[in-house]
Amino acid sequence: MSKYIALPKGVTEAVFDKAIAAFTGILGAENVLTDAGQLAPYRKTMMAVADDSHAPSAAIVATSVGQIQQILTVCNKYKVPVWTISTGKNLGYGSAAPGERGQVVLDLKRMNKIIEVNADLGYALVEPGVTYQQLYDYIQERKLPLWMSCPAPSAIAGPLGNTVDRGVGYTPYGEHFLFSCGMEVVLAGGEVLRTGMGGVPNSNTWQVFKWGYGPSLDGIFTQSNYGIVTKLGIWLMPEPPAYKPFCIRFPDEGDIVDIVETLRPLRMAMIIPNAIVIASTIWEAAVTVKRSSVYQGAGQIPDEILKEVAVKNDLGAWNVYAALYGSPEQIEVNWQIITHFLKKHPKARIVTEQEAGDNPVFQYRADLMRGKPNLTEFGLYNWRGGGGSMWFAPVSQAMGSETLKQMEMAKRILGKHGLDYVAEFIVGWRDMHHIIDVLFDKSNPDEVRAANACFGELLEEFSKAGYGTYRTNTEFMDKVADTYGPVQREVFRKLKRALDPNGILSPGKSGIRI
Amino acid sequence: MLISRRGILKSMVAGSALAAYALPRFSFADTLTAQTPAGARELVLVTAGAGERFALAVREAGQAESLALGPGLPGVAALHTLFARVRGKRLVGLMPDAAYVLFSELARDAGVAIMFEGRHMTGAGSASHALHCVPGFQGVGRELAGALAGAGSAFAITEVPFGATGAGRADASLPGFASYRVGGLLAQDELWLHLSGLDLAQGCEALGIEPAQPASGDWERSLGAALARLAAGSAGAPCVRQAFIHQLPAQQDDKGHDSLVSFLMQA
Repeated sequence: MSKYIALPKGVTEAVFDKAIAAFTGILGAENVLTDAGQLAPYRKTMMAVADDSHAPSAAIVATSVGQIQQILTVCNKYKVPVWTISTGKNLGYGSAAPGERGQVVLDLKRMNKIIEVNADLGYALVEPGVTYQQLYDYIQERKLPLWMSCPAPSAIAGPLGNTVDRGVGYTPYGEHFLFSCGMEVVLAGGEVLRTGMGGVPNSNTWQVFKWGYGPSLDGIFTQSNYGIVTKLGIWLMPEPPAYKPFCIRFPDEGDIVDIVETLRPLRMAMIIPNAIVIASTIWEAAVTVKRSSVYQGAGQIPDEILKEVAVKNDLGAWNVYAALYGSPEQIEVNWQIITHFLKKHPKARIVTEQEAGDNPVFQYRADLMRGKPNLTEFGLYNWRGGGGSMWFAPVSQAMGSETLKQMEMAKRILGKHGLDYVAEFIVGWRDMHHIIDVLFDKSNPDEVRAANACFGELLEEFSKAGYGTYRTNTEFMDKVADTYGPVQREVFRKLKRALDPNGILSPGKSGIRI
Repeated sequence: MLISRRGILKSMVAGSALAAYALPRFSFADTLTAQTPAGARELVLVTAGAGERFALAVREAGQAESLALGPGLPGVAALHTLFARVRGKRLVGLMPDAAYVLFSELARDAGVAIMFEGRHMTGAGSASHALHCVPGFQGVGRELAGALAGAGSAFAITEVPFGATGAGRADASLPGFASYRVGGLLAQDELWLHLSGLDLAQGCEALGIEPAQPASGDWERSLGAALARLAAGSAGAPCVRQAFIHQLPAQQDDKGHDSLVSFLMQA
């Protein structure tokens, strides 16, 4: 029996012993984890597969670029692959576990320096282990007039990891990669690349001008495995003089068409400047309600029960969250425009911050739209219980007919597998991210099988209908990559072979291997 | 894992209890190398709005510092402080799913090792307890089974060492059987256990397990006591992959009314 709980593919125990010894020499024994108890936190996932299929052989904790360079020398020598995580909080997308069994987790949580925050120019330069909460606290403690944008699990996740996985937030800067500027990347051979203006010695424009000269490289280091991003510049929003979050509740599922048709022009014209959220009843209710308290039967929760839940908890079938930013005068003008548009929809019920009072759901949404981290959305994990969660994330046009079609497709497929439709739409300028949380009991093999089959069917059916998935969990990366066609996959492979000829960096990320 | 009505119906249609006995005892004999837990450590009991009887049992088992995180989601700053303060100690607890997601994520950040983790779905007519442990911290499943066997409710308990293959994708059920997979250390060691209408005694016999202990019927108390003993350094049971299935529920699919996670960690 091996002394390791898993081994990297194609690596013998004797060779792995040498790699571990070399890692220990670089990092110290306390930062090289191979014991089952130490690795247990790195093998936990919320996906509908056995955690063992994503068990790491080891986890190593680096604290500097120099250490990463030395680690990669060892990896190249022994052909040992590393799976890099920053804070490792990609819950529902694979968590901290490696994409493939036996890979070594390279944990950068202790590279957590906020290198610079420039209040005049509104940017920050951070390392991988910096969390949103840390950055928020830094800004607050110094009373800097800046707001950041963060995703829902924000307090414990970090801007670097979220941005390179192309995550989104809820402020006007919510498309995080769009608002990033400048990366430092350690390449597989150990070279340190600074993108854009970072290549110019003594440049002070690395975090203010994105493009540099020649091809723009930043994009190839997102959702990829071509390098290890060790620094990232992000733009921060000037704190507005006034802020007005609001909610619009719509009573019927079919209202999604009207909602999108009404909001799209307002979003495109920047009357509403932030990433609008349109959340389903369960997404809202889960903050305070458990599924078993309202329904004990088998299969997808019936619509009539959901309506009761909505009424009882003062929710809509759809609950729209948006905000206005600027001077009080600007906000007043834009508020008049919005209320004028909504008059056409008598079923729409507007809830302002004053009317919401201490409603915890409104409060956490309002906080997210001003970049204040919180974790309230974790309530989703109590809805069904059992620890299973996979995000299915297709993109649609911001057209009412498209969103209705996607909702109906998703609900039907989930229902076929006995799972609930728990979803939100996040409105971009012209697109919508349709975020569906496939929730299941991971301790129940029947539900695990159902969730896995459901996710596969969602992917297949949506792809057939022409809908691409913008992000996925580590179990389905190859399948999603296939939906984008063979030419893209081959180009990705060619880049991989050129930049990482031994395939030591996160093999399988986004379906990319040498 | 719940014993589903589908499984029951399969059994009624074409069930044969003999298949379970066909599993050779030596299938379960490739025990992991049992490590003796380190001696007794300082114990910290952590709860988050659930598990009063669990907490009582832990306290009854010996001296434990108690930390109650409150009924909502624990605060991030409070957890950072907690983990910094308990270094070198063992943590046992029982909490709802969302609280545990946050707790365990921050535990990893703090370099805390997980020695045992259990997921507990309990309903009116049945319950499931999916337990994972590292070698040296096994045996809770057996204790739970012994305590619950006489209480009349149906239950399913699995105990799988970390590193073993857990619930899988493939549908390995056989016609006429309710099927359960119990994993091995390596993927090729995967093992499915198929039971059909077995009671606990038959299941124990097939698995080579000692007869059940006298029953108390209280899963929370039994769990608390077992984890407290483990934390104190007394793992007596062999470290094998085990499943304990007791009785078949007489009602329809009983989706879990309550979902909790238990743990034993080494800070």
